[in-house]
Amino acid sequence: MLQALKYLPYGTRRSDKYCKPQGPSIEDAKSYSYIVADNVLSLKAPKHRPMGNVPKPLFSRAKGNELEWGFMPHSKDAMPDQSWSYRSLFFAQWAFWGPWLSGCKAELSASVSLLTRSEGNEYKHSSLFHPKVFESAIVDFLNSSYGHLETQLGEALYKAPVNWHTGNKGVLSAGFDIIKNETSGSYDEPTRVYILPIAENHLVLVELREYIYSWNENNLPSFDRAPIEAVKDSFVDGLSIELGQKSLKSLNTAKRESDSFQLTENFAPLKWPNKTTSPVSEEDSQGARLLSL
Amino acid sequence: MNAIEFPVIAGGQAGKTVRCNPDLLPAYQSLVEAANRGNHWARIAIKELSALTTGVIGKDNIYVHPLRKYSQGLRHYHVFLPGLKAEIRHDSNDQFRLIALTLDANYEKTKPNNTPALYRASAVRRQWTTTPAPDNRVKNLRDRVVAIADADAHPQKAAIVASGSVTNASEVGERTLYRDGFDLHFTPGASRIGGLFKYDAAKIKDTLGSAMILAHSMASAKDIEGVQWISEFGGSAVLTQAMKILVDRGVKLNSHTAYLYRPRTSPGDAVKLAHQLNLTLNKKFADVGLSLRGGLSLARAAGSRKATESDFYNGSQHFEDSLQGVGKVATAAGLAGTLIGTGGSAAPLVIAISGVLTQSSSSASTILNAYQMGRTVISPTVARKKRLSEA
Repeated sequence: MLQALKYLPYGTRRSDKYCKPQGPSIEDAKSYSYIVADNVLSLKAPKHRPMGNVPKPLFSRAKGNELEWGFMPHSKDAMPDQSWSYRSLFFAQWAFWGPWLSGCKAELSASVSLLTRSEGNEYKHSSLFHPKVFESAIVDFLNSSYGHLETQLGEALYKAPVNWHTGNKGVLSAGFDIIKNETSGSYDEPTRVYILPIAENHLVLVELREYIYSWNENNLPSFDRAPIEAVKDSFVDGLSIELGQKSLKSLNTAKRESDSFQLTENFAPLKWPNKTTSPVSEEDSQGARLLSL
Repeated sequence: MNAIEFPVIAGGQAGKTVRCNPDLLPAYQSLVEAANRGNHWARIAIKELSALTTGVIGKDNIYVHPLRKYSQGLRHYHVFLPGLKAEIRHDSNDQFRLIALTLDANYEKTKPNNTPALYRASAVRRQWTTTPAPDNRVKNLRDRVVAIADADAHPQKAAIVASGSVTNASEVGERTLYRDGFDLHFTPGASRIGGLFKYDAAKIKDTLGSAMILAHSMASAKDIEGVQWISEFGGSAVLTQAMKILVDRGVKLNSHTAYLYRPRTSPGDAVKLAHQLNLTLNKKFADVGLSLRGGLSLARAAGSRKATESDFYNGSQHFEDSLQGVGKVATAAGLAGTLIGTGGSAAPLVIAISGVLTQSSSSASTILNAYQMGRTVISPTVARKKRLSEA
């Protein structure tokens, strides 16, 4: 009772003092499941509770097989080569409130989507259950969606994968962070990504993105981030996958064909930005800046 | 070498003296000249260098060189200026000396999210991200949406809120929003702008800096076809001020449009400025919600809206607006009446009920009914004939 009073979702006495915010209750997480071909993807998530009344959540869509209801191409801005299409399965956002009406400290949004190669870009004669194909698919996906982004100074805007680790969900799976280079301060605002294959041509992508709203004078989050990490961890732990007969068969084929059925132990960040056009030389752009003075 | 002989650039009389290596003096003097001509960035650079007279504590653009350390614990500093990086040596006589001036573009990086600026907001798999827009310029895309947000602490937060508001404008749908994203004009601040007691945008001083930057974005976007300037809540103050700046400069924004979602400053003032800027306005210019003052303000601007060529305002919208205005007045008067409780007369209660009824006229069927009702009572042709005969 006192806890509920202490962490009321309002912010009349906003402050950036150090505190331990309270997020959504992990114990009350609800399960959601999705049918993808003959496989079942299930996840556990707390109730959608953002700071305001936006954004709107997304819980379940199709009654049956998700693959029958189409994919969306990425916008040209988000992915210039549009080599992957996606289908959003789940979206929710949670606010983390400070004690005694001290305001919303941060928000965490979770998005689960299915990814597949867009038409004309399919991988030929290969299965994403195969570790080498899976790894190269991750590289392709990261390159297409983040490699082209750069800061105003021409450096890469994002850095990924960082903190690479492999998971164990019955199929190969990998988790890592995507770090934004140009943020408001010294803190990186990492986006936790978890990725796993669910069918021969389909990946499940989990993105846990944090928005920090309270900063201290050193440009670091002014509060204890442990509750955010706890929700991130529990979301990834709650993820499970149950393969159908057909997918199990192709998984076993992949196991037989590969010498060691495992992902790489270490994965250094990719070299970005991908320069496609010839860039203006450093001297020229600096000269232009001097002229504008 | 004796440091006393170096030319003084700041703090000759008070504070710590800042000196300059003789070979850098021409460069420094050209910077001063640029500042005197009124160049904003040069002025900031000079100001930041002069500010060294008060020391290095508490300044977020001064960094200590990690390796170079002189005797007596004196340090070597890097001072980031707009487009430049100054290297400062702390001399043993406790004076600062400018020893190098190099081109560097890290100045913006030293400033956290506490300046008003334009951001690109984009949704990737439903999650919103913001990145600073280069030079505060609107993305060169036909019918680009620019959201002018209310004061907020963080651009990310403002973007999420604005993504919910801009779809209320008649031309923006989720499809365009999630495909193209939008540009976000962010104003930092702890509390919302405007409100019932600060309804005149011209009298709000805190947002003038933000309005200057928005005016720059608007002026530089004048060749982009059909940009939609959509303000939400207190963002209307920033938009109104920016439009005023552009009107004073004589800028025209043909083919652009504007929309106010729940403005917290007068929408009527914004309409007048929008006309002067040649903005093309949709029939519905603002969603004032339940605001009585907003409704009245819009109703007052109705005449000029009907007369202006680039405004698609028409009779039916006029009737809806004036009805809403009347409804709100009646509600307020009626509620006041019932609260005072004159008891003997039931009239205030009747007015209150009628007010509440007309208040809910935003539902389409009620509007239609009311409109038809109104037409039977006094049709536009009758009114026009009456006016003519009076003339």
